[in-house]
Parts: sequence; structure tokens; C-alpha cells
Amino acid sequence: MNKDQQNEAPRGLMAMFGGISSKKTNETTTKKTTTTTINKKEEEMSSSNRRGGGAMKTSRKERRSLALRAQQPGRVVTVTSSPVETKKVQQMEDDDIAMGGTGKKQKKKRFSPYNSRQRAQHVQVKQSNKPIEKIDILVGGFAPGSEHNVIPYLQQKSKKQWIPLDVKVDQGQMLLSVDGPTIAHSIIRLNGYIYGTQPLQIRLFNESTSLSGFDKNELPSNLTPKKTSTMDTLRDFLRSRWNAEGHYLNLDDMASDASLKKAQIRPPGANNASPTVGPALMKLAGEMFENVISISFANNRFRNVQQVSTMTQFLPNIRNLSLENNVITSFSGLDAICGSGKLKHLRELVLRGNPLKESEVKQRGDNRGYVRNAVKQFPSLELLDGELVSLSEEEKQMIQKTRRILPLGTQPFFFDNENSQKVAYEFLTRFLQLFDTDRATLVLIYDSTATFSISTLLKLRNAKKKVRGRQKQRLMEDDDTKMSWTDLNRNLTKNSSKSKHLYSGPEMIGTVLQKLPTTIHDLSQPKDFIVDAFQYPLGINKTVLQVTIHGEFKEADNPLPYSFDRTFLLLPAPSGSPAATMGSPYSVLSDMLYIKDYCSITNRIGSD
Amino acid sequence: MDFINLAEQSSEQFIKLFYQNYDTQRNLLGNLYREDSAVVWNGNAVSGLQQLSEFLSRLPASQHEIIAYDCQPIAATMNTQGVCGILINVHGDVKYGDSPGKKSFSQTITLMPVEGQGTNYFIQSDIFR
Repeated sequence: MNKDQQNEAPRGLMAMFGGISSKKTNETTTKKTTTTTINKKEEEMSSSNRRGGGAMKTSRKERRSLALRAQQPGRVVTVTSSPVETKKVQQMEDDDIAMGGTGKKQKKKRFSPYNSRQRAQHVQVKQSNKPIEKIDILVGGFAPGSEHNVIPYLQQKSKKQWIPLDVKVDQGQMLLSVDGPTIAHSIIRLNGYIYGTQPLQIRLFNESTSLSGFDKNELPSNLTPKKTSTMDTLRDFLRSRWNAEGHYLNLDDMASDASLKKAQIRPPGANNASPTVGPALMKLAGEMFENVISISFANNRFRNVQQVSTMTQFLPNIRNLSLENNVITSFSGLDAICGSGKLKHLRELVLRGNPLKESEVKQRGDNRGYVRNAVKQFPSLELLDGELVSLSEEEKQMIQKTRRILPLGTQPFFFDNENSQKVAYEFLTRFLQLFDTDRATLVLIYDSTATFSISTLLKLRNAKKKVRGRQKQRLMEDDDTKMSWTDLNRNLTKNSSKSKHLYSGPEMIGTVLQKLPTTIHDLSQPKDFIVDAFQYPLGINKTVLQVTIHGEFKEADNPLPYSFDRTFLLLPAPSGSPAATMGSPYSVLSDMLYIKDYCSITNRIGSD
Repeated sequence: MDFINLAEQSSEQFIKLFYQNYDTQRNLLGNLYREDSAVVWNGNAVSGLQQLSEFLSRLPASQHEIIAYDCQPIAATMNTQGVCGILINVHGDVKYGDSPGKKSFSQTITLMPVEGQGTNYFIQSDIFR
């Protein structure tokens, strides 16, 4: 089938097959279609997808577009067009992509079918007709009635983009045909993944194989063991430790696990463990298993939970966690899994056998301090080391006082419904633009009873001479002079000139607006602004929309930025009102502005 | 002008009362809110008195320090007794539990007069960041 490919530089599997130095070898003919070969290829392919330990990163890379890959060193990207070719990427022969998907670390000798020095020659765009290599996969284990979602599920989980060449469904079994061994492999490895409530059974279907499918463990031994897909090894490992009935994942003593040792994968806790294995394990576990409730990391020599901290993200339903017999020396070693929104359901924790417990208990003579600290870090905790957590009132009080974990995380914005959001953004854009460029028109947007005030807390400005009393009055009346923000400061804690600086009615507001320095609000960076908006009733028959914005702006003639908060209360503009005539559906009832020295948004948001 | 003064006085009293209770007797705060009060905390909505009291109890002990505040009476909401709603904006620093650092916060509260009770107010909306 691949005659026309034989004359091309070996790539993809072909090259791999010959082992390492293959570049010029022409044993490309080996694209046999026997099952075993395919198996091998798949193994090779998938292993080519990984750099040792780089499990996590690879999957991300697999999603890269063709173009990006073409720019990576050491890759050969072949664009082929074939009649059945579907728009998106993949379907590349020999899964050059898969090869390409390998990270940039082509320096690893064991694996450089494309000598990176050759990169210039290899990056080429070819047009050739690629014959389709149809591979059949048998899928079973899905509940009848859910067939139509199986394909999308497989597409998503396989992390490759593909379209089935053919699908036949018959009583709870589906025969799926895809193009190319890599795609096939990416689907087959999903065997055992939970779809709905049960695991799917997926295997290669080929007349020449028995229907009991192939067993990954029977791979021919000429495969270099190192390359046997790290991800697959991790998956198998996880499967072997998973107790589905008890929703319990047992990751005790990972260092002595035979399969990991064989694959030379160092689990978290071991010396020189690759930093990505822990997160990869957590992610895979989250994907493969339904509802992990209990998990144990006993006997792993953990000094802290850093390497498995992503459990808070991928296994959020954990209720029971054991870290027994590790080497955690203080509660700060658990910091990575504490905090608002993390492990909300944790009710049982085991920390015995860790120096942390021993030292705390020794110090105080009893374990009260230890228990208190545990509850402080995990407010939902009920059982500690097998004992019910019972705290005296006094202890509870103290924890209350000293607890610092906030009950809710910080969201970047809040809208009570879509309409509020839309209106808020439209309004703010219009308002701030006019504020920057045309305040005379802006005045019309204020309701007849509107109020406006400014308060400031500016410490970093050049201390200007304070303008007081009559001078201020004169300045106000003088149309031409601009006043500074502080001149108009209404900060009431200062107890000075209270009733002034509150402007009501469009006329007064208009005057003040003209006096303020010209401003520039750069709305092109949404991440520099926080907006909240929601509606609520005001009085008997009104509903007001409150819009609050936190952001930054500059003065037109001064590069130094300010930070500001501004709250608006908006009412729908009655038809015929000035606001309506200028095209705004809302009029401003209240406008309260607060200005302070610049500080970036990320600092301003309260975070844990 | 009168109602402006009234509003300013009320806000001042309110702010003192509010933050004092927030720091020492947080359970009493619930009385200031109503079932339909709109409460948003760092972008999270807290709706209903039940959720609110649960949230307040889970929030660690706090210490607020007020740096600046501003208020505006909302004339359009003036009721039959000449009392109107007030929009208040407070800025300051807050420290939770025994955490070492202070964070700056900003809170905007809308007060509405309680019908028939002169100058008693309830919190109609409260947004905190």
C-alpha cells in the first residue's frame, strides 16, 4: 500500500521500526497490516509521543495545530490531501504528528528518527494521495440508548481529532472504523474508561484476531521497554490499584510497584522523581475512574503533598485521605491541598506515622494542638487518624479566631444574569468613552435627580498646595482651570467640608465633569478590569441595576496610572429623556468614584 | 440639603456599627439584611438569609480598618417621611484569622429606609471585593 512512500525519507513509524539510527534505511515496506505489527506500531507510536516522564505535557502537544508543529525542530510534517481526508489535522500517514508530538527534547539519543540537524530538509509540505488504512475497533459496554454519545466521548477522551470512517451498531456493541493506527491506538487505550456508569470495552477488531481481543501485555519483546508508553504504564498501574466498589484508589508504597520499576518511572516521593508523574497520575485517575472518594498515599516518603496537589482539581470529591507513614514534618507540607474550594468534602484524614504528628504531640503533651491545627487547615474534617474530632467550645472559638481559610474563592466578575452582563459592558464602554472624550454629551446620561461624588486616597502624587475655601470656589467658577482629583475629594472620614463635593443634578455634575482632568480609560485589556453587575429592587416600584467596576486609567497628559473603583446605579431611561435622546437605554441615578494610587488588579483581588 | 445631612449622619453611624459587629459580633449582622438583599462576596453570590448566615459563620474572624468612605443619598427613593436610600462606598484593609497580611477591600452597600421606622435602614445590596 505504501509503494509511493518507500522512496521518501523514512519517517514516522518506519524510521522507528529500525531503531535508532534509521534515517536512511529503507525498511519502510514494513507497513504490514497484521495485527501484531499494528500493535507494535501503536506501542511505538504512543511511546514516541512521550519523552520519559513528560506524560502530561505530551497530551497538550497533541492538540497543537499542524502549523505549530511544522515549526518545531526535528519534525517532519506532511500535509497530504486525500479524498477522504477531513479538514482537520491528523490522519497523517504514519502519524508524523505523533512523532512530531514528541517534545522538543530531540536531543535524547535513544530516539531521533529525524536527526534534528536534518530539520531543514524535512519540513516540507507534500501533496500526495494517501491511502486510507482502515482499522476496526470493537466497542462494547455502553448502555443501550447511549450509542450516539459514544463517538463524541471517544473523540474527546482520545485527545486526537478524528472522524469515524464507518460505524456499525448492533445490540450494545459498536464496530468503529478509523483511519490509521495512531487514532486506533488512542481509542483502544481508552479501554476500561467509564462511560456513563460502566467501563467501556474497547479492542481492536480484526478477522485474524480472536474476539477476545489483544492483550497489551503480550507485546513482542523487541520493543525497547523504555518506550512502552509511560502513560499506558501509569494507566495500567492505576487500574491495578483501583477498587471500583469502594471508590478507593490505593497508591500506597508506589516505589515498590513492579510495573513502575520496570518502566523506570519514579513515582512521587522517590528521589529524583520526575515532577510530572504525580500530576499525571492525578489527572489520569480523575479521567479513568468514576468518583474517587477515598485515596491513600501511605508509605511513599512524601515530605509534602506538592506532587499530588492537583488532586484538588481532578479528584475533588475525595472524602477520605490517608498520608500515613510519610515524612511530612509540619502542617505547611499540606498547604498545597488546603484552601478555599479545595477538597471541600474531606472528612477523614490520616496523618499518623508522620514526624509532624509526633512532634506536635510531643511538644504539647497531648494531641489537642495537633487536632486543632488539622481542623484549622481542613474545616470540614470529622475523623483524624481514625478518631472523631471533637473539640471543646473553647477550642472551637480559638480556631475561629485564628482560622484563615476563606469560605469562598474569588471570582473575577459577577453577573446575576446575562442581560445584566450585556447591559453592564455596553454601558461602561459607552460611558467611559464619553468620559474620556466628550463629557458635555455624557451629562445627558444622568437622571434629573442624579448624584455624583469623588473620593480619593492618593499618596504618591506631588504634594500640591492644598486649595482651600474661597480659592476653591473661585476655581470652580473659573471655567478654564482644571482641578485635580484631590481638590474634589469627598472622603468623609476626613470630616471636612461634608456637604460639598456632592453634586446633584445634571447641571452641577456637568460643571464638575468639565473641571476634572481629561482621562484615558484603556478598555482593550479586559483582564485589567473587574466588573460586577446585578439588579435589585429599590423602593416600591423601581428596579435598579448596579454596576461596579474596578480598574485603572490615566490622565491625558500624565503617564502615571491611577486605580479606580466606580459604582453606578442605573435606571432604564424613560423615552424622551435626555439619556434616551443620546442613545443610551439607561440613565445614571448615582455615580460614585473612588481613586487611589495604582495597584494592579491581581493584587487587589483578595486571594488565598 | 437636609436630606443630604441626614444621609451623611446615618452613613457614618451605620459604618461604625456595621464594621464593629462584623469584627466582634458577626451573628448580629444578619438582622440588617433582608431575604431579598443582593449580596455578592468576591464575585460569589450569597442569596437568602440562610446562605448569608452560613457564609458569615464560615468566614474567619476579621479585623477591618477603614481608610475612606463616601456616601450619596439616592433622592429618587425618598419615601413619605423624607428619608431616602443611601449608597455607601467603603475602602480599607482587612485581616482574617491569624493570617499575617492585610488585604485591601472595597465594599459598596445600598441602604434603604425601613418603612415607618424613621431612620432605621436595612441593607438592600452589599458587594464586597
